[in-house]
Amino acid sequence: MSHLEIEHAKRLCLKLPIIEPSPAASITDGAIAVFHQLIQRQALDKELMIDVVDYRHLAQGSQVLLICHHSHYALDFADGVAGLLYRDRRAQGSLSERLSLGLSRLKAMAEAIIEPLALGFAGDRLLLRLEDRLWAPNRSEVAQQAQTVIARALEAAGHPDSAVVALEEDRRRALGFSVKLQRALIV
Amino acid sequence: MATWKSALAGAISEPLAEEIDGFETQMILRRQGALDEAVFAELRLRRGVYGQRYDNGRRHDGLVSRSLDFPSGETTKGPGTYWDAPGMMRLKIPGGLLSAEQLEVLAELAEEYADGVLHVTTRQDIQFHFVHIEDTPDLMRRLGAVGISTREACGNSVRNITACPISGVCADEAFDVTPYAQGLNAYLLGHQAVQDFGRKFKISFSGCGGSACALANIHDIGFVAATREVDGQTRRGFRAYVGGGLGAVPHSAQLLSEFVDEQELLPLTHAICLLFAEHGEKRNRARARLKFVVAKFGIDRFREMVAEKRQTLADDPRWSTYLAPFVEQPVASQAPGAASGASRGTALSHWQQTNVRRQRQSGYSTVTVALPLGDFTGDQSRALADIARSYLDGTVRLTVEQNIVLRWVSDADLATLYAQLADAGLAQPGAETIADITSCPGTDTCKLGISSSRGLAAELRSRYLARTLDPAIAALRVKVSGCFNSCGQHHIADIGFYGVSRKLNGYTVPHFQLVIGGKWAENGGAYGLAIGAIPSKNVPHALSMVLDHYATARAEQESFHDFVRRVGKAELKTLIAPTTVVPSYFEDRSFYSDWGDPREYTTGDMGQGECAGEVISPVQFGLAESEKEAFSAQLALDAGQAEQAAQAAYRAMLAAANALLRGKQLIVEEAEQIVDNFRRLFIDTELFFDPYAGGKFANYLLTAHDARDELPSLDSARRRVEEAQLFIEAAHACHGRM
Repeated sequence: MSHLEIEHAKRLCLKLPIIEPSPAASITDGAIAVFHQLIQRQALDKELMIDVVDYRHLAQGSQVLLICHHSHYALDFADGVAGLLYRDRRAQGSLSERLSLGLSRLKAMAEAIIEPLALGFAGDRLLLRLEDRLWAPNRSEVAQQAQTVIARALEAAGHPDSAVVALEEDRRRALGFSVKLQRALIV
Repeated sequence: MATWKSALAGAISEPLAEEIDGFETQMILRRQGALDEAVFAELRLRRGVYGQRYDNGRRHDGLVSRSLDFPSGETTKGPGTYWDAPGMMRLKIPGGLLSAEQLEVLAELAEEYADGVLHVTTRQDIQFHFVHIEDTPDLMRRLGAVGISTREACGNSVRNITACPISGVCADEAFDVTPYAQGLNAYLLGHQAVQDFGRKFKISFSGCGGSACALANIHDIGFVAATREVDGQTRRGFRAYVGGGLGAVPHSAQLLSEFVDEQELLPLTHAICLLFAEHGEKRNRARARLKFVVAKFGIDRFREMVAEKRQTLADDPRWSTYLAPFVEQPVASQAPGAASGASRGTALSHWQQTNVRRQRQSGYSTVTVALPLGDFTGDQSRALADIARSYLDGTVRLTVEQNIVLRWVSDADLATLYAQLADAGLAQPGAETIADITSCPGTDTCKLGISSSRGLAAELRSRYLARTLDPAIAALRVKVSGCFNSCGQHHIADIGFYGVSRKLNGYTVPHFQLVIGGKWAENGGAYGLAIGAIPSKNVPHALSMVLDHYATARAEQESFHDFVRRVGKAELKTLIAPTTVVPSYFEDRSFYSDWGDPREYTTGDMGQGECAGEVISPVQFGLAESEKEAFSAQLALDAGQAEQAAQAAYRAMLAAANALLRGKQLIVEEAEQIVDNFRRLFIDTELFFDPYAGGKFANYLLTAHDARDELPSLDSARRRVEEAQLFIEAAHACHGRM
């Protein structure tokens, strides 16, 4: 698989870890109201916000979601890491373009909820997944190539010298990377 | 450019690949406007591609009703359904049987195309939510590659065939019904005989008559396994029931045949399907289920018609070939063993008590994975796949109570299995108890939802999981539907709820009707009736009152069903009466939003409340009068007084209609005048029409009026009572719109 092909991978997924409060699970009740308020205020630019989904009854995964036409946002607890999750659903363009878009949308969402939910983020860390098993199957050779493509895409998005490391985990999961940014996405 | 179509070429059967390609073409034609939107809607439904709430491009955000301006503009995927709006995708999982490989692919699809969650339905199916229609062909291909179809999962066809999830390992069954459910599914899928139905058609297989595993009584056809000695040999077959169904007005299935030999199972079903296509209503959806065909002809004549139709069918080798490969035998990856004793009071022992059942086969158990609200994540699905491979026969079964059953667990593995489930967040106790609440999607995603059934179920679940309960209370079933349509099967729960709304001083308040008297056992052996509408936020309190009363006033060993019959619904209605009161908007605003949804509960502009006191309109007084009549109808019904019940139900509808007429400043008294004016002002104008059910509820009054001098059977009186309740609900909704 060439670098060019990985550029086709769709459904980019970014997760910004939450470090405050700890445990972050206590914020989910408040998040339901905050997400509804974002819709009322039409607070996210260029997102068609549709609905809020309540999965607080689940022990893992995304517990409160804001469903938009182009993206899903969630307070997510997969992998034992609490974080703000951005899932690109219908974005167009190259991986670089979509990564750039994703980072700006994730930042905008983080800024929108940081105060009402009294959150603290690990702003220089990201979990990145390519939820596209057609263009980015979870294989070591694909991970290796994708690592380079993602680093380059991050550079193009204004984050040069980011450290991108492929996650060693269950190969059935979507291809995943941990990312350390030189410049924090959000402080 | 790689595509799933090219990547999976050869992995999908050619006919299925062609069907999916065909659907993709239909999508293109629809986008070009070359295919009618209503036709396309039915085509996509038959492929499992369903609509979802807000797909009409509007949503009330709690402050204002806002339009959702989807990028594809005015393009629709059905009448009033925008192309870009997220939808629901339903799969077809016959008997709820899933392999480890299938669980893994489902996990991928949930993550890539939906919201990351797999949802188990009350038909042992899986649903994905928030799916874009343009992703559905690839979704179908990837499912097809692991043997899962979405064909006829929705639409006017044979829906997923359900079967007892512990069939083959159950001590009470006649035999394992699994191969019959699978065989009938394979035979009917895409069959010409099932393509011209006016409504959906549901079939189930139970291994025994006593339990509720497959709910034969609520199905269009319910098969219950039975054996018979013929010429010294044991023959397998089924007791066949027809014409059952829940929906707005439930019907109990009637016995069609005491014994249908296994060789006759497919042709008999084929014949019934042909009759349904021929005689089933096509225009009036409200009367289009098989139950109305059976009612129209009567069970005796219907039985003759089935036999006659069966004789016209040419022999088909498929009627019996599917039976040959199946040999029922124990399947286990681990040797049987003895459970190591868990210390009392530990989480493991609590879980074992509620979630583990002994199999018929010594040394093995079934384990029920209690899924909250039927949901599990992609990661949890992969964990279940690992468990299925490590501990089981490689498969799991979904249940109609929205759980997952693991079979063939060696008793020696129970403790380690529990630990693995706990790691995956799947070891919640309380399976098949009062905390294990069934719920339809309700207002979360369903277009018809009135109240938040999932919100209420989640609230009740967390409350009852946290309590130590009297065993008699713990064993009760609670089921919640977001509207009267009974997708949450509220009619057959010990305690059911269905969503309604009430308008009070200009504010709309979410409520649930409390349904009492249903019976989960005996395949859904009795249907409950609504005894009163409770504001959503008071439902937990009302439920506690009813349960406390049962705990303190029940006779020894008295079941809840028997207790309700003994004390009577009037006493229970009086008991919960204080909980039906809604505080004013200014006293407690929490009553004006629903569970799990802080938006103010309304669908339109709200009026202002009266701080100085409650202002009750003549319409409200009239509707209250109608509810009183409806309740007296129920009491008469409980006393076996069919005629009195039907008459009271009729009077209840007249009172509700008259209440609405008073809202039009029209004062009339005679029944004929009420009906005539109601027809003129509310039916001809369609003012009474439900946005989704149309004139269905209005017809209940007209039918009752026409039949007012007839002597009803107990069954028809029961239906009239049910119809009266729905008519009153429709009158409340109409009043809200006036």
